[in-house]
Amino acid sequence: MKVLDEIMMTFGDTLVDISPIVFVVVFFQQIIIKKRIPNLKKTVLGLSFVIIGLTLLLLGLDKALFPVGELMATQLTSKDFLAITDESELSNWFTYIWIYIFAITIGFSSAMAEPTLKAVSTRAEELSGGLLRCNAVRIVVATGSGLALLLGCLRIVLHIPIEYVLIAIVFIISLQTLFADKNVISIAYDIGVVTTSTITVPIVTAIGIGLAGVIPGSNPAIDGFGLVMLICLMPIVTMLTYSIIITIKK
Amino acid sequence: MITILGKIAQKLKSAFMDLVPIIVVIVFFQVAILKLPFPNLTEVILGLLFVIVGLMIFVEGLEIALFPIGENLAFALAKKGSLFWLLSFAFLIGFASTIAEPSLIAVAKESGKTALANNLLHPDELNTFVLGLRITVSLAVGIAVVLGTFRIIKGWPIFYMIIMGYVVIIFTSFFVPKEIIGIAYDAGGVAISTITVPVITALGVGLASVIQGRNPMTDGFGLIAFASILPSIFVLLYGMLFFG
Repeated sequence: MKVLDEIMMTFGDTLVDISPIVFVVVFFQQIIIKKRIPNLKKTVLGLSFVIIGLTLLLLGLDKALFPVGELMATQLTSKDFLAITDESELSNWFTYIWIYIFAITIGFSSAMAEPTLKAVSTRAEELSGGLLRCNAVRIVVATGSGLALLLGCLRIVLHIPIEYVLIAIVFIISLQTLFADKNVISIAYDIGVVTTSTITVPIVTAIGIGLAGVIPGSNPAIDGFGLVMLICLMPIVTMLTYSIIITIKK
Repeated sequence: MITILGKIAQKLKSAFMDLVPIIVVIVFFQVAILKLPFPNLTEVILGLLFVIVGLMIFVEGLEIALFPIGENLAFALAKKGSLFWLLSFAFLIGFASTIAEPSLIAVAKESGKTALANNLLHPDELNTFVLGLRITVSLAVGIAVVLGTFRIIKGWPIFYMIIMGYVVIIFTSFFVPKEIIGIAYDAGGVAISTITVPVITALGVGLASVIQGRNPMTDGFGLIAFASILPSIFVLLYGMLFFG
């Protein structure tokens, strides 16, 4: 019965979450444009799909993706797994080598599978007149995403404040922007944000929170966040590097 | 009937394929590296099924209902020529789609829970904090879409706006409570996801093609990056009010 209650509650929340969109669309359609909604039947059907789908998705994120991310982070950093005998090893960054490897792999592979990234990469190839190759763009962006997670985990372990990491990355991006091809820049800026999807965001967030939870002297609520922003930014760096290299080669 | 089933199978397959790399990596680490038992396995598998099926139905619904109407409306409003209604629509659709964004709902809840578990929040404040966070982010996306629309109309270059945005984030970070910085930085990437990306892209590309002298290829892009910066700034300020 507890499960049923949870489903009903999520369903109720979803109805509330969706209502603003419905309101905006109906208002503009009826009051401003003064036209009836075309294909009303189809629209109502689609809307019920949205509500049912969102309810299931939110339940699933809560039951599967968050717990799995957190579990992986705690298991890969547990004392038993690391065979730690001396407490001082807990502060050594090298102790957590497996979490870095896990982070790089999950960052790279989830970006490679991201359908939106495929679409944007194809667009990038068209826009650059074939200079950038679609698959190369995907690999470059996925590398950026893997590096982002590595960097993010390292900075949690080493207690480096996220604002300093941001300053360094923005400095690099600004420099690169001066030299990169104008057409590539705006795609590069968008591409990182596009890479973070509904599936990667919960897992990545949970890894950060889980990791910060085991590092001595870290507070998960303060130090656990920031990974998602790095996944938005590092692909810009790798994308711009790639485009500059290609331009020089020409 | 068979074609519908075939179509569903197709969609299920592609929804599943998105998850495959993550499942492969996790299974590999569990079996080959960790060699530890996996607690709550049935619940997790059930949850994964919910994610796959839910994501599929959700995206299908968006494609049937929301996207075509949104595109139609943006086009009709641009043709109507009223800047006021066009910008109001841009703001409201940005706001409303961000409120419904699944990653934001999930992460806002998780941030609240983590803050509560680490004594940064009082239990009474939890719901206010989570809802306040979502409304702040949605306001930010709404305003970002308006500014982005304005930019397309005026033809401002996007790089300066984005770099300036990051400079503002960095500057603001030094004046806000530590508790909010990480959450604020992540807010942009979290907010711009399943619903907002297609809505914003369609709006940007649609406007750039209606307005003369704009190239939909270059002017349509960049809007997403910009829409992901404003939420961070807004959440930093929200933290100042909430924790400060």
